[in-house]
Amino acid sequence: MTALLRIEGLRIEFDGDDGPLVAVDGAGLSVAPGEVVGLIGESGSGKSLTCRSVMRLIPRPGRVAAGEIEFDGRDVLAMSGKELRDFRAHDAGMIYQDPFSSLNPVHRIREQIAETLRVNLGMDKAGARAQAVELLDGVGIPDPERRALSYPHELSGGMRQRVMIALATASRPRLLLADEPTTALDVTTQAQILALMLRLRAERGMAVLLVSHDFGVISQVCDRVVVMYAGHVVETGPIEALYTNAQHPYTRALLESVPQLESAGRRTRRPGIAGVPPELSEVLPGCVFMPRCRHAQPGCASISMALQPVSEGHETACPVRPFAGTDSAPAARAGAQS
Amino acid sequence: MTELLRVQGVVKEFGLRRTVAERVTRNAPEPYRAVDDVSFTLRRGEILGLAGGSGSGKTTLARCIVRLIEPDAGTVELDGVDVRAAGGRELRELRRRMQMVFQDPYASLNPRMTVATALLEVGSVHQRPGAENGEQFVREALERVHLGPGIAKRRPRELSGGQRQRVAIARALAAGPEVLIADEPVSALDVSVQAQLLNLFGDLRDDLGVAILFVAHQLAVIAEVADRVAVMNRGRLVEVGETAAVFGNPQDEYTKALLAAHPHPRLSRAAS
Repeated sequence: MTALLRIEGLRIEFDGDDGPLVAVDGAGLSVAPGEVVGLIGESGSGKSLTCRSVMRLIPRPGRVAAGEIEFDGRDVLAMSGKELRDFRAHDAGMIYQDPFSSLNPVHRIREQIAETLRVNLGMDKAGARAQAVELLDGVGIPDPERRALSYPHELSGGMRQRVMIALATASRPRLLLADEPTTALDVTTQAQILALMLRLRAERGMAVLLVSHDFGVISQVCDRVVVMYAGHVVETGPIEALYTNAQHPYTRALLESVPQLESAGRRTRRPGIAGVPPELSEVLPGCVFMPRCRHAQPGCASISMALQPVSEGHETACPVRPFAGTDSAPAARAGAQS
Repeated sequence: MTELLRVQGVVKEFGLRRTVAERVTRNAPEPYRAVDDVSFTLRRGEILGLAGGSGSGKTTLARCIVRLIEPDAGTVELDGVDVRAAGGRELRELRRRMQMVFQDPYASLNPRMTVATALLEVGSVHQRPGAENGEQFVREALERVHLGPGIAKRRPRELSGGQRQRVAIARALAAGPEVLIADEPVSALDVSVQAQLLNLFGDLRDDLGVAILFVAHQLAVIAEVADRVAVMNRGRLVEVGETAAVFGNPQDEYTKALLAAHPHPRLSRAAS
């Protein structure tokens, strides 16, 4: 299958006092049509920047210093103003963590969706309003005719996120970029929003790039996972492979840190990960995870962060492979096979 | 285990603004019951998890206990002393014995104070033994939360999120409390740091014998850290019990729904 979205060698820099600060360094990933890909990492790993770069929405003074972003064979980074506008309007939609700050507080929901439809799809006013109500119905908002007349503050967080999804998918994009879409929501609402995204994927064949820090969320909806740490992609592969056979020490440490409901009643001690991620100004030679790695070896200071194949579609940036052949995180006990 | 904190029938209502219709008809709206007749006890040396969705009243309840929010009805007793009847010096002493830790340590630490200053202030305000020997007091306070003495000279912005939360906990402990009320103390942290903080809460219970009311919306976090759990929904306590019993065999419909919606980090995908 050819990729719908392909990112390669992405480098995002910010200006620092002593030369550029590199927030994302050589990141690459691909999303096939209709595929749900999870991008996971802790704060500061560069996952959100990578996601936003697809829409060319890197906040200034940040910039893409190198790399390629290709959507359906078209070079996103080379697009002119009009092409970019078209791309954002028709090909990709984006939703954010906080739907309240992405909606205009002084306009009714219906008008905001209708505006998008008029501008992007050239619909007339009456048609756009009717379509807006239909879209609200499509994302599972009860009583859409009445709700369409609400202002954002009159809706709950889950409802607002549904409105955002209705907006982002109004022109039936082939790719939805979702940056921590459920982080601000309750678990029950979160489950509904995730189910909605899966439904849209099933109905329209829409691909999703889901950015999250939560393995629970990722494992429920994603086909493949990309793990980022300190601006680098450290491991990528099918979700099953990562759960049962994670090869990068960071992925494993992350999996082992995830609290589990099954621990109820047992005293649990999880090791977590010692130390802190490197500052942007710290440029580490070799493996960026080495200072915190339990399996570090002297040679790690001079390796490259290039991904190496483990199996079909599964790649890791760790050449040491301290876990060859061993079972992965305790989470894998649920009985998945690789 | 003996009872340390007893909360009985606590109610907190918030008045709502009148709508136009209510102003015209001169009707008053029903006040909103954020906490509705809540009773529970916290035993010495246990961690009690307080779970519930957003808006369920967890935070309001936590604040009512130390009277950061004044409850409308009910009683709160710390070791037999009536918290609601106390005032002045007596209330200050009660609050020393019940310390709070908040979700965002950046907002609860003074950005202009170094870690040492912040810890020493607690020592001198509450006239803690050992506070006159500043350096040692700070070192011991930091040791309790597994931080090195090197951090004492830093200010909050020079610390990582995990370190900041540890400092906030160290500051709460510097007052020598018997009860720690922790309102979403690990929610803003990355999982790798969160794991270490949860270990720390376990250590505080085991080594210092502090009783902890641990408010969290993530059930898995409560599963790992709490001995017992209380589940809140719409201001009411719907279920209380041993964590393993409640999570293994929930009785209340709301608890069941919460558990069902929990995103299990395992391969149980809704659609594939």
